[in-house]
Order: sequence, then structure tokens, then C-alpha cells
Amino acid sequence: MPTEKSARKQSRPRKTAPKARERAVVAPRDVAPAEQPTTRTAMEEKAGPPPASPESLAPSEHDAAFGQLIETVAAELPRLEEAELRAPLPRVQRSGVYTRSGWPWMTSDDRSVSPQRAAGEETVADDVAETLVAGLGPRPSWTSEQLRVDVDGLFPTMTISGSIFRLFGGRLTWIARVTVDPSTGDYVGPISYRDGPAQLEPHTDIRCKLTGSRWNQASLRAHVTFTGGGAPDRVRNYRYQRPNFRTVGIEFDSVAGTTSVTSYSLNAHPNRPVDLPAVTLTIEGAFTRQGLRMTKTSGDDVIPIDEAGTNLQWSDIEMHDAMQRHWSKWADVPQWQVWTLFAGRHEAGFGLGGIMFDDIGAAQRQGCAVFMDSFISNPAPPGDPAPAAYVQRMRFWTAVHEIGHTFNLAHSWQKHLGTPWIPLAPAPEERSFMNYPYNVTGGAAAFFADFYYRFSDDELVFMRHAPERFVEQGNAAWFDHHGFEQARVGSTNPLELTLRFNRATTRFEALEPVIAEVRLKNTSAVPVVVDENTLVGENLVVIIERAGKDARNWAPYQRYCRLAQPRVLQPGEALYAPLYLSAGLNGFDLADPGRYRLYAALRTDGGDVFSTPVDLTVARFASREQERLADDLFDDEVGRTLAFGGTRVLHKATDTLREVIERMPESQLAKHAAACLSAVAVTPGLVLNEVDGRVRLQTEPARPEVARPLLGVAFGDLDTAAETFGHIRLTEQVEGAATALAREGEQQQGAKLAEDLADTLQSRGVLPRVVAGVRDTARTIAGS
Amino acid sequence: MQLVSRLEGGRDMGPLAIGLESGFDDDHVVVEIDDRTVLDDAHVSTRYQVGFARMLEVPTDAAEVRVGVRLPSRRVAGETTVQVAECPTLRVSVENGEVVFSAGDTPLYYA
Repeated sequence: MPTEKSARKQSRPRKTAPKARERAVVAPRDVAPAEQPTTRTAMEEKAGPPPASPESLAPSEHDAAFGQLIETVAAELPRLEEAELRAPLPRVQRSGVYTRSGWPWMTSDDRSVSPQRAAGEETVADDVAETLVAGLGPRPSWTSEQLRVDVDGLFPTMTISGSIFRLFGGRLTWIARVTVDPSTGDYVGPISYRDGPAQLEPHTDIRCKLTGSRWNQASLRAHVTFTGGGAPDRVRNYRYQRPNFRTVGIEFDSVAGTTSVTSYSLNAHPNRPVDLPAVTLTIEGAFTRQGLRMTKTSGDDVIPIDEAGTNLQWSDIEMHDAMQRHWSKWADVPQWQVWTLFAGRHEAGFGLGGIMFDDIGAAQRQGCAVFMDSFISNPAPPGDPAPAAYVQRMRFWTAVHEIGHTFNLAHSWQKHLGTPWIPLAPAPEERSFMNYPYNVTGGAAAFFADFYYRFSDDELVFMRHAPERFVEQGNAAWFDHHGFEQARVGSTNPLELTLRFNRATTRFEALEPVIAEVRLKNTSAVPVVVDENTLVGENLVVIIERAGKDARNWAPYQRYCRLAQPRVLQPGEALYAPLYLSAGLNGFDLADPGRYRLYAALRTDGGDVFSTPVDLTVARFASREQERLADDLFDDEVGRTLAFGGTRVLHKATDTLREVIERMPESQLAKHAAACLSAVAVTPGLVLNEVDGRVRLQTEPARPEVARPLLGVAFGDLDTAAETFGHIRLTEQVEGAATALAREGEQQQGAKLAEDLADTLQSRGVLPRVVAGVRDTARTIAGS
Repeated sequence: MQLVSRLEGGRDMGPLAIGLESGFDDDHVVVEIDDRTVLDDAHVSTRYQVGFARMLEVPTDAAEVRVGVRLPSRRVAGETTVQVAECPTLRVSVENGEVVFSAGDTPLYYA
């Protein structure tokens, strides 16, 4: 959503677009031998296991035809490499992110992943069964799991990790360092790290089998068997999603008159490893090739030097202000986004080449700066064979180094300081972006002679596998709802789900029923087909969380099971439904005074869509009268009566509601009580009674004389009634009462009630078509 | 921050670059060169993203200087002697409750 700041940014003149950079490529034959990916062609896959000596081109126990095939393919290899340099192909690997997610109800997707369920094989539905068996009652059990497989590709760390997110069950990250089982090719290892509720994953060891073809990544699957820990073995199946472990956006801005350095040709200086690829590496490429997909967002903005103050040297505060002013992605929230500033000099002086300055405020580590007028621009020593490259290299290293800090990486020699996420040893000689080249033995020359423009293994483990909040820029301390928010923000569904209350304040009286409205809106520019009944069926989940307490899954007294009715939502069009949240199969989840947070989620054909959380407050009891009535009110029969809008047979409930009207006539609860009683009184209905020993259906006649005063209590002040009933429920109940009055011969009263409702809805800004519909009802009643 | 770095009279031989590096945690720090206070700051903290808390250049005309670093709030103090011509840079850290010095000729460069 555009903001004033981004609008100001867009109005400033920009530099001309930078020249297109040569795309960074790493050809497989040009990398260090340790990095050679182990790929097999499709024909090799068909032929079976590779020969005992994979480097040998001579036929072994394979037949002569296969040997000829090997020689033919080998002869083609140089030409394939040349083609790859010209038109880079995606690295063929099985490493990446796999996922498994689920709704409380099994879908065909779940079944298709494991059509023949093996012993111990678990589906998402099992999560639900486990939860219920644990005696926790109906609990939110929307589960999302991510598996990160890091066993091949560039700089594999032989790590498999997972994140399990259970809505209000918490989030757990587990990490296992694995080795290959030579007999099966599976990856096995102990779970050596956990962060989060252990009950989400109690096992101690994993065995991961990867199936499918590297050449068809959509076919890739990971089958993980979890064992140990005293829990029954479990098998979970994951689908391949993508090769990169994280996805980050980056923006580069420069101070006027300052050059930015965002790429470096790795072979530009002869002081390098002999097998360093002859490619131009961009900053984005430096991260992307290591599994952290980095893409440039808008940027190249030019920042006036006067934002550095009169001394023209940058303080951290000035840079932070510039970040907020110029960064198009600025937001004081965790997000996978980085801002990089190329500036002249920091106020600390020539000795500071760059800094991750953003260590203030709630969301830190979002911005960093590189200072061109510092030691990083020192000229090359006399006699250096490539003086320009010498300087470019140092500047490029500085930029990637500072961006590494935004990922929460420490300096190589300081890994043991502060609060490391796992025990780490200092590594002062490490050849990593996070080490100072000039601090190793032999200085910068020794460093760059052995530097492959990478992060170290434990830094890669951290960035690829550590709990997201440790790594993500701007991340704050973890809250229960933080994962929900991430899922909501990450959604790309064209539909928007909104949970709301149409009232000035979300503060409810004690005992006042809480009725929300849910809206499903098409926010895209094209029509979207939805099920007309989707908001009243099983696909809608509402979570009620009380501050400091466990979250509860709202369980309405009724779910409608209807045939799907396709409905086309035009752009901007929406479906609406009222939700009676106070009571349900769980009892009264909003009974206690205090603060609550509500969430809604809906499964649609286009994916899951989540509402923005809504906070509400239930006030304390205002009198002893209220406290006393609470004992009678928080009763299942009363809850059902209020939820369904009335009853003819639950007499204890109707007695309680009459008592409410008598003792608390001015309360919002009294309006609801009166609405329930009047709805029954104003219409005739059938009841099942025992008469003379026989059960018979009997008609109870309408009693408009009883209904009229009750209608006055409920709807005498329609504006106040709208605050507590909500617009949808109010419209349903008032139109029903008006129509019923007309049927009983009181057309004038009925028409006036409907017309007053239309006026009230209009004054409250309800959709014109809804207001028009109510006026039509009024006219129909008047003319009947 | 109070930085007193200029000596009255005499000629500057060359600066002594002092880097207060790791281990400082919102400390009151006093740095003295031959009993003259060159830094007296109440809130000195190491910023681990750059690896230092403070950088200061102290002009001196002496070949050898005595450098004292005190952390009054922690009752920690240390002292060292530096041959300025051979070792124009001095790194200072606090480790295990002690002030640790490292003199050398490598420039104080941080990033």
C-alpha cells in the first residue's frame, strides 16, 4: 500500500538506470572440486547405479552399449558447459525447501501424497487425532511444516532441518546434521537442535529418503522417518517447493557523488584461488548462489549529502532517518528486506569502512551502509598487478560483509561472544565474508588467495536453517501470533478475509453477546469464483485467544453442510456472514472479563486466506446483579437460545432471558434477550408436546401483543441495536420481525420497523444495495 | 563523550590510535595517556557489528607512553606501555574481568 514516504521517494529525480550487468554464473566445471554437484543424467537414472569408479569413462561391468553411451555423453560435455555459460541453467539439485501443510480435514492432496499409507505414516489428519486424544478438546490444529534439505548443490552443509507451525500450538524448529547411509542413499542423523515446544516433534533421529528426479523438480519428494524419543515412529511426506532456503529483497541507494559497488569480476585480480570461476558476481548473486535468493527491489535512489548534516559525515541516526525516508520497503516490522546505503564517510572516521547501523528501535538489522571514503578505498600496494580490481574487490567484500550482518551474522573471530544460537568457536583465520581480510595471518593477500566469496559452513547453517526470527531482518521477540501474521502477510490469494465489528469500539459489556461479521472480498482485478456458502461451512476457522491463556478454536453450535453453489465475485465484490462467537460447543469462550484476540482463516480453492487479527475487550461486571445473573446465563441452553435467536422449548433459558430484561433493562444483553423472546412471540410455530400420553405436534399461535413491548426493548433504538447485533444479524432479525408483524395484520407497524431499519443502516454507511433491499421489504409489507 | 587529545606545548610525533574493542557493556571508561585523561565517557558499549566501542587518535610527542584504562563502574583497570613508533595502534578489550591490551602496527580498520 503506498505511503506518504514512498510517494515522496517516488517524486524525487532518480539516477539513470545502471547498465545491465553480466549475469553471475557458476559453471559446474569451474568450481572447486569440493563443490562439484553430484548429478546424474536421466539416462543414467534409468540405467541404474553408477559404476564403481564414476570418473572412469571405460565400461566396467556394464554392457558395451552403455559404455558407448558414457563416451558419447562425455564427448558432449564441453559443449554443454559453453551453452550453460551463455544461457545459465538452474543448478540441478535436490536441496531446497519442501513443505507439508494441512487443514483439520484431510483433502485429496493429503491422500495423493501417500496413496498407500505405510505403518506409522502420518497425515495432517493425524495431527487432529493426536490433539483430541491428548484430551485437549477441540483445539486449533491447522498445521504447516517446512523441511529444508541441504545435501547437494553449492556449499552443502549436510543439514536437514524443519519448522513445524501449529496454529496456537507454537512453532518448533529442529535441525539434524546428516550423513549418507551408503546402503540406501538415505540421509540419516540425530536431531541436534530444537527451538520451540518439544511436543511438536518429540523424536530424536531422522532418516530422509529423497525421491523423484532432479530434472523434474515437481516430482521431488522427501520422505522423512522420525524415530526415537520414546514416541512411535512417524513418517511424513513433503513436496518440493523451491531451491532457495530464504527469499530476500534488497534495495541500493547512494549518496549524491558516491559510487556504488554492487558487483565484482572474480577473476579480475590474480590474487585468488586458481579454480575461482571466471564470472562476475553481483551482491544478489553472492547470496542467491548460497541458497538465499536475493532480488533487487526498486532503488538506485540518490540521497542528498545534506542529510548527513553540516559535517557531511554520517551518524547512525542520520542513516536511520535516511533509511526511513528513502527506502521503498521501509516498515518497522520484521521482513525479509534489506536496505544498503553507499555513502562517503561515517563520523567515526576513515577507519570505519561500513556498518550495519540499524540497532535501534523495534525492528533492527534492516539497513547497512558502505563508506567509500574510508580505508576500503585505499589504493593497491605499489606493484600490484590489478590496482583497480584490488580496490573494487575490497569494496565488494565490504558490501556483502555488512549485508551479512543484517542476517545477524557475527564476525568470524567473535562467534563465541554475545548469545550464540548454538555453541560456536571463534574462527579468526576463516575465509568467509564475515572475517576481516586484513586480520588473518598473512593479511589480505593470504585471505584473498584462498577465498571463494562465500560464507562459512556454520554461517550457512545459520542462515539456511536457524529459526527464522534469528535470521530475518527486523525480527523481534517471538509471539504466539507471529506465525499467523507471517502466514497472513505471505498469502497471495486474490481474496481478502476480514473479521470485524461494526461498532465504534470493540469494548463489550460484561455478559454482552459478541457477534462479529466476516467478509470475503475479491481484491483482484478479475472475477473470482467462490462457493456461495463458504462462510457458513467447515472451511472457516475462528480462533479466540485470551491474553495469557491458550487459544481456542471457536466451535459453533451448527455447521451448514450444503451443496457448493458457485458464485462469481466481481472485483471489489464480497460475501458477508454474521458469527455468534460468545458461545458454542466449547462453551462460553468470551465469558471472562479481559482482553482477547480473534483470528479467522478460510480455506478456498486458491489457498488459505487469513484475516488481520482483531482485538476486543470484555468489561468487568458492573454490579453484583450481573455477577449473579452470570451463573444462570453461562448455561448451554441459554447459549443456544441466544445463538439461534430464540426457543419455544428451552424454558429454563427463556426464564433466564426474561429475568435479564427485568433486572438489566438498559443493558445490551437485554436487547438480545428481548430479540430472542420477541422472535418466538411474533410468529406462530410448531412444538412437540405430550398430550394425553401421546406426543403430538402442536401449533403455538403468534402473540403480537407480547411481542410488541419486547420489540421495543430490542429494536427501539436501532442505532444502539446495530452496535451490538451487527448490521447483518440486525437486518435478519428486524426484517423477520417486520414481516411477521405484517402477517399478523400489523402491516403499518411492520413497514415502519423496516423503514426505520433502512434509515439506520443508511446512516451507518451500509452498502446501498442492502439499504435498498430493506426499503423494498418495507414497501412490500406496506402494500400487503 | 569527552575526548581530550591534544597536549599543550611540544610537537606531535605521531598519533597513537586506540581502539576500545570487545567487552565493553555500557561502561564508564576513562583512558589516560601518561596520567592525562584523553577519554572520559559514561556509556561505552561494544557494537559487535563493527567490533569496537570507540576509536580515538591521540597525538603524542613521546616515544613511549603509558596508557591506562579504567572502568570505575566495574572496578576494572589496566595499564600498559607502548613504543609509539613501532606500535602506533593499541587495541583494548575487556575479557574475563580484565583489561587486555594488544599493541601493534596494523591500522584500526573496522567494518
